[in-house]
Amino acid sequence: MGPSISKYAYAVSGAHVYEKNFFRRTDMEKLLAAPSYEAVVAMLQERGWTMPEDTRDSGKILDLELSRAWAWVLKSAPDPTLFKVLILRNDYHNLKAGIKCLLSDFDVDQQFCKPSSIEPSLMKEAIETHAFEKLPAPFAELGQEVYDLLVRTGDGQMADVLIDRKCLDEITREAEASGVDLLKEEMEIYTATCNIKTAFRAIKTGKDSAFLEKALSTGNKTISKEKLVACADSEKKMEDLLSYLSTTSYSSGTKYLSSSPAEYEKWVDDQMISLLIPTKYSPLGPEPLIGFYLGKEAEIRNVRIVLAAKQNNLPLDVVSKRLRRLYE
Amino acid sequence: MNWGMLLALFGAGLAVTTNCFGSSKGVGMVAEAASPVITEDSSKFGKLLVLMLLPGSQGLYGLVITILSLTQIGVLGGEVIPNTAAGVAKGGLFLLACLPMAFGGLASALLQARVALTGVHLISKRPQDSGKAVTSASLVELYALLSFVSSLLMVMSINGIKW
Repeated sequence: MGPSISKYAYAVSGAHVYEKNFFRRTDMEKLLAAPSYEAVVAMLQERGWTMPEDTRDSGKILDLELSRAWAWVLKSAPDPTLFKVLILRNDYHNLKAGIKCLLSDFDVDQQFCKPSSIEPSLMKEAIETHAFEKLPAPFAELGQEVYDLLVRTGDGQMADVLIDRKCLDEITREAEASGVDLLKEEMEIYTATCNIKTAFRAIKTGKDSAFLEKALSTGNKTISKEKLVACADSEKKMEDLLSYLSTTSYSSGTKYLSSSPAEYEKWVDDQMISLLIPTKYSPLGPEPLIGFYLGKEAEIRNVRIVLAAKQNNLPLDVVSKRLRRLYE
Repeated sequence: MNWGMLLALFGAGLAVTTNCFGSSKGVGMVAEAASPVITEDSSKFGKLLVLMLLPGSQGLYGLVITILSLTQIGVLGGEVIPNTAAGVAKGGLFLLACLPMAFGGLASALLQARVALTGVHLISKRPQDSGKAVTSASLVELYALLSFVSSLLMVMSINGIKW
């Protein structure tokens, strides 16, 4: 359990003040209506976003802004370790990207996600020198295992499966250990929908139940791993999977699985945000800080879509449909 | 050992201790919550000050009950409670008389602080609604006042009881 909720008075109030600068839907539409990429960057600057030297690199702009919000959470929260589960997936992504880049001579710095609890420089050094023991558990053991697997077999898919599975298992474990109901519910949606996506893709590409057994994480309360795995061995496979999903709380998102992966991702993000809305009015406790950070992530996701649209001259009506629900 | 005196002093001490604990915690929480808002816009300090002060009143009520009790039991005046069976009963009555303020005040200070916290967030977003925030927090004050009046009446009446 974390500290007493009364210790969150300063942090929660600070989060509510910070949130006043978050973009609303109408602001997003203004960004979208901006004439060019440079105009969007100027609008972000007006909102107080810190800009890197090279504003043409949208990834850097977004990384900087999200890292700033994360640094604020770490500085203000009475128990910052409680919130590390929110960025755990970035650490696993960085481990995966680091090992793959090393073996394929890509520039790893471009692939790292920020913010992360393990410094990208440490991750890079540990991977480049094959000194995985420099990383904290469970990254040290996992990194070594995945590296050995890739060197021995070159099986990139299995490497992904090992890392993604461990990531989801750890997220579930850490969320449970936090004792914060909102965190448990948020991470439950995240891990369960990742499992659903994996099961759908695996069955679509003809993978068997042994593969799914390895790929799917354990510990979800809202879906049954056993039932997902059993679908891979059943006669009607995909029909059985969709039929099972229609009996779960994720039934409304199932239709997007077959029609559009992007719409499914949007549906998942919207589900996660809708769970956060009541925390906007909480005066105490860790929940408003969880809402603050995940709300910022949703905002960043939308700005990423807008910047990409401006850089690639995409039609506004298509982009507008991709915009996520915001923390408002 | 004068058990009657001991019980009465315990009651008097409890009234001020619990209320000061509740008030300091409450004022501290609201002041902590107010500081990011003041950092952002220092002109809101005046509106927030009222909210910061509200949970502090219980500490004063507790102090009044304590002083009043001490004037009744021979510490700051009045007759010393005798070291007899009747004196023990009288001391017990003083202890009981202090309890409404001790616990009513403590609970109301902490709960008032929570309401004041929501008021801080309201003022941060809509400063024009500061009156609503202060009124909401003041509603909890009523229960601190009820506890205060109950304890006050009891402490004032004990010496008049015929044994």
